Amino acid sequence: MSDPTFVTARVAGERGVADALQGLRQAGLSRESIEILSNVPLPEPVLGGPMKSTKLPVWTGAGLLIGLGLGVFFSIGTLFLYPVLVGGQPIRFAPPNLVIVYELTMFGIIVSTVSGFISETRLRPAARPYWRDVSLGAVYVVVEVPPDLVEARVRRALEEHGAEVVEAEEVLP
Amino acid sequence: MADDARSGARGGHDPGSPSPEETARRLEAAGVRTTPAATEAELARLDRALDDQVFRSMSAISLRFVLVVLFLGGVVTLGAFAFGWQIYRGIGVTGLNRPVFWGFYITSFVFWIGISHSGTLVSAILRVLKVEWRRPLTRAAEAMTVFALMIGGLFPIIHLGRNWRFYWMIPIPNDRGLWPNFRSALMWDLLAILTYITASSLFLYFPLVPDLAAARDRSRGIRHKVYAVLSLGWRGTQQQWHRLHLGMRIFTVIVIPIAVSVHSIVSWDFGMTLVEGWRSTIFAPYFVIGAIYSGVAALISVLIVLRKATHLEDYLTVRHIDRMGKVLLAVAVIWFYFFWSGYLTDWYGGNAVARALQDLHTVGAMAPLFWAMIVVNMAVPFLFLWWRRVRTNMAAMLAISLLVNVGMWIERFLIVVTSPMRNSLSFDWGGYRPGWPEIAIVSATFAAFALLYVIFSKLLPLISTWEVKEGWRIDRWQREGVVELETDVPTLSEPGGAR
Repeated sequence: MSDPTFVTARVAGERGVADALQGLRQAGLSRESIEILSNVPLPEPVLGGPMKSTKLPVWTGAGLLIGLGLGVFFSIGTLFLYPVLVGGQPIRFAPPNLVIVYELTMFGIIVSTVSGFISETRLRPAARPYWRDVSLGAVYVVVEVPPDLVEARVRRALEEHGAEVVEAEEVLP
Repeated sequence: MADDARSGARGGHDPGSPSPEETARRLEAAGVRTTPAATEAELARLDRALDDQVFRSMSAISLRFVLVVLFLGGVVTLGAFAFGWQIYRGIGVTGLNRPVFWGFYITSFVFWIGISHSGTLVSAILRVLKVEWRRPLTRAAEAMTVFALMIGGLFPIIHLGRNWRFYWMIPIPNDRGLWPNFRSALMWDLLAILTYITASSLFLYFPLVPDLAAARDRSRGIRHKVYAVLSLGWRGTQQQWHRLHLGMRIFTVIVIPIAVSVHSIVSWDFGMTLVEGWRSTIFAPYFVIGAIYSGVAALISVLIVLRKATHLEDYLTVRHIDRMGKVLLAVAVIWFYFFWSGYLTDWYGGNAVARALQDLHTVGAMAPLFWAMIVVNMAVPFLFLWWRRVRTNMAAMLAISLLVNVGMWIERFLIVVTSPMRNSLSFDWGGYRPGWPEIAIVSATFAAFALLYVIFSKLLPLISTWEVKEGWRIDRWQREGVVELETDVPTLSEPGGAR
């Protein structure tokens, strides 16, 4: 698979983002092929609608189940695997098990949520354009040009809506 | 627009209702700005000033910083030597004896776990309630939890006679013929603290990622490489922001019950025994509120020192300390309610051991400590924190918050150490005098706590810059109708507001 082609532009604040997005939409680009880079989160109305959903809640749910399973294993399973015999009878109990199950369930949730975040943030298919002045307040639009669209058309759409087309300063893995 | 609203109100002012000026004053006091929203240029200027202040304080190494590190490092080294001495000579170098098996170490363990409580909890509760003034102080609060847990978690290991057998607590396959006793509250402790330190560290790290990226973009060399790894390739895409917000929402909801469970479990170390002075059904909530009390006080002390030492007075403002002072007063009242409930119930029950213990506290050898605790934990906050002049005086607030923590340490000491001194076998009554290694190690942990903060201030941003910037913008977005108002208090520019 060939590397994706990017057209990148610097825009002036939130108004610039809204204008650039409007131009790109008119040029036939879908929201999924456009990234907005900024040092603060922008509200959804500026971005023209809700963000693509993430799989983070799925990770959280999976962590809950794994933590719950571990908790049940350690607290209840081990009672049966390694019975402590007193007077010939094994000691079995219920209330203290709930504490162990609760803590390990919570542990599972937090570890899995962070794993999901790292996985979705860090593990991307390819390096993407970046500029260091994003953290100083600059706002950039990154467009991954679809194969069926001419790059010049994307550039024109951006420039006609006030964006300044620039090259990427660096790429981040 | 706001001025228009004010002038309009002057024209048709109803004599029975508050004046527009009074309404404006009240709205300002409620945190609703009545001045016009900042323009994009003004916001950019504010952003730059914030970044300069926060990131500059990370790179500047002054002589004062070096001296502070050397002093704190010296005290920590002394503590490490004392611990080495204790390992070499055995646990007999401490003042532990029969019947007082738990001394300074377990007292400090409970104290530090308590301190750890408030950082994450305060931050999480303020986040859940979407309290806007939380933004500059959440980072310092979350860091406090992590540092206090790192220190608190050491004490059970230091307390062990044979520290190197600590790993016996970990449930690993049963090749030693041993298996941890899951019925033991000590085992719950291990799991609860492990869960809490993991949750708190990640709760600190999560919102730190965008700031780590900002630090990455401003640094070079080895620092740049470290920040680049830690910032997880953060580019500030809206999808990343969306994921971060969602993750923080999940975390915030989860971390609150974890925090409550941790100190409940610490209290059950005592509450599940049959020792008079420990066995109590209200110990869990009493410990939780005590932990919040000492934690809020510690947070106030930390904020006052940090704002002065790192010149962040414009962001960690007097108003923050004022509000935290009100929180401290409220928590002091609740703490006293629980303390008094336990004390009165024990007194009324007339149990001989319980009465002997109360006599030991109120008129016996421990009376100076007991009454000192009453004065600094009850009298001082009740007498002084009602007054705004006190809450906005940084020296007074630092003194009060430190005194509250001295009082809370004494309270832990009275619970942990003095309760075993009185039991149903009067020939088995005893006392406790700490050994020098205990004093040195406990002192070293206070120095270590301060040292961790000092180092943290040079490695990571003390203020969550993106959250503060977001807060400034939310105000404007709300006024422009881009996002919904998150407050029920009407603004001056709204119909039905001041008009």
